[in-house]
Amino acid sequence: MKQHNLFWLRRFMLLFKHDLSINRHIIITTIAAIASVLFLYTLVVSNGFSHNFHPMVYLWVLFVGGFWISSLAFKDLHDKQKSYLLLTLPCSNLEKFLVKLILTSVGYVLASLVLYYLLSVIVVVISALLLHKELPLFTPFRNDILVYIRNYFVFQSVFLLGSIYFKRHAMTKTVLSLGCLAIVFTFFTFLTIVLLLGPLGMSVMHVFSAVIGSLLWIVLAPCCWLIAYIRLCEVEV
Amino acid sequence: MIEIKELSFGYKAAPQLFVDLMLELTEGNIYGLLGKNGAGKTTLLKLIAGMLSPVQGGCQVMGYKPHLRHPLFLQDIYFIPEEFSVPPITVDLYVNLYAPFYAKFDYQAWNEALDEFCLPRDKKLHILSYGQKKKFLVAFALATNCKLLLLDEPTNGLDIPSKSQFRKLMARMLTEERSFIIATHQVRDLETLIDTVVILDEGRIIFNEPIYESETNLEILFNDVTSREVQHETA
Repeated sequence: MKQHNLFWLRRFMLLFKHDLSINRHIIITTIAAIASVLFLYTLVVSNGFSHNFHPMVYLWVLFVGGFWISSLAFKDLHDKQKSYLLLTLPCSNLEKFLVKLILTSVGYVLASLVLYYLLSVIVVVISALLLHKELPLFTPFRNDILVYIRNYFVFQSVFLLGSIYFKRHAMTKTVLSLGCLAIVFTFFTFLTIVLLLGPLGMSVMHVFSAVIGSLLWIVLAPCCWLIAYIRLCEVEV
Repeated sequence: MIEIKELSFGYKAAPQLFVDLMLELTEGNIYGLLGKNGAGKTTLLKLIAGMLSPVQGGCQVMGYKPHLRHPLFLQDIYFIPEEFSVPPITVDLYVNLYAPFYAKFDYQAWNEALDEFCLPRDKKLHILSYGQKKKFLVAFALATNCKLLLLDEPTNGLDIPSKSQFRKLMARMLTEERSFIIATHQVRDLETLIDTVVILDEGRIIFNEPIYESETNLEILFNDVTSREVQHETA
């Protein structure tokens, strides 16, 4: 079978299997962390469960866990002793990028949903038996969960870019960069509109924020993916 | 096999390491890439492996531009750096995960090399000694049947019997279609193996000849060529 230089499904699947196997300690750590968060939170709030209990905990699991995993995606690329393995592995840059993207976005969302659901079943049983409390079961397809997932896909792309861009402490640096960018952007937009338009500025500001906000939701993730892919192609060690 | 024309390269915030470097290497040879510290041996290997890209000029390896890192090119090349890390998995799992990427991977050659180096199959790679890890990577690299094998200081960390096994294995695995490039300081370890010597000095190739023509040992040859170069520069 002729191999295509840019993308070949067999190579892609091999790389998928390779990445899951090599990163299994990260997967195990994440599972342990999710389980710990869920069990601890159950104990802490055992006297006052609300119907928002699971969405609240799952929000943390999805965002913190997912951003952490995404920030680690290209960690080996910055390690002088490990980078040769990834850079000289006979796969295209596109395959290497897509595998990391799928694993840290769709892969993480699906795995965390399934895992959280299974853990919530265990927690429900344990809390009924030990704490004599009735805890609601996690329902993955609620509206708020779907909104969290949509938001995750957008912000995750920034953390994936951060993992390629920053050599060390990628997650911290990405959070700080995002915070700084948000402050600078808001400040200058506010200044420009208020100074230019005077009293009308505030209402224009609301419209402008809404438009920019919507654009950002659509454009941010593809832009970050594209920049991350280009950066991966240019990586040198 | 390797054609480097007027290649220039330098690291950021450092003077140019290579300026208009010219080099042509053919298949079927074991090249010894010699040079003092900082001469650019590792950098040259990385440029050939596609881990660095030239600032100017051309580098063609088997018809590919290495820095584009095409999968078909990467299947035909294997680079073993001097300092490396291996994943915390067993020897067998490593082969299960990595060998399928190499279309010409020879499982029989792999088993023979593993036996020759007396490497355990069930142990995790990260707990092996540095020398064992190196032997493992050499065995794997040879089994990939790659056309070009790049080794940076391969005998560092190997004991005397392992160095001998390494030489035998390398000599046995050389074919007319393959070439090995060995960058080393330890010329004595490899003088019976190397058939062509390339000497790098301050980013320039100052010697590129088959060793049988020089009727001397590698250490003397290296010292002779580099001191001649120093005299030439001072004159």
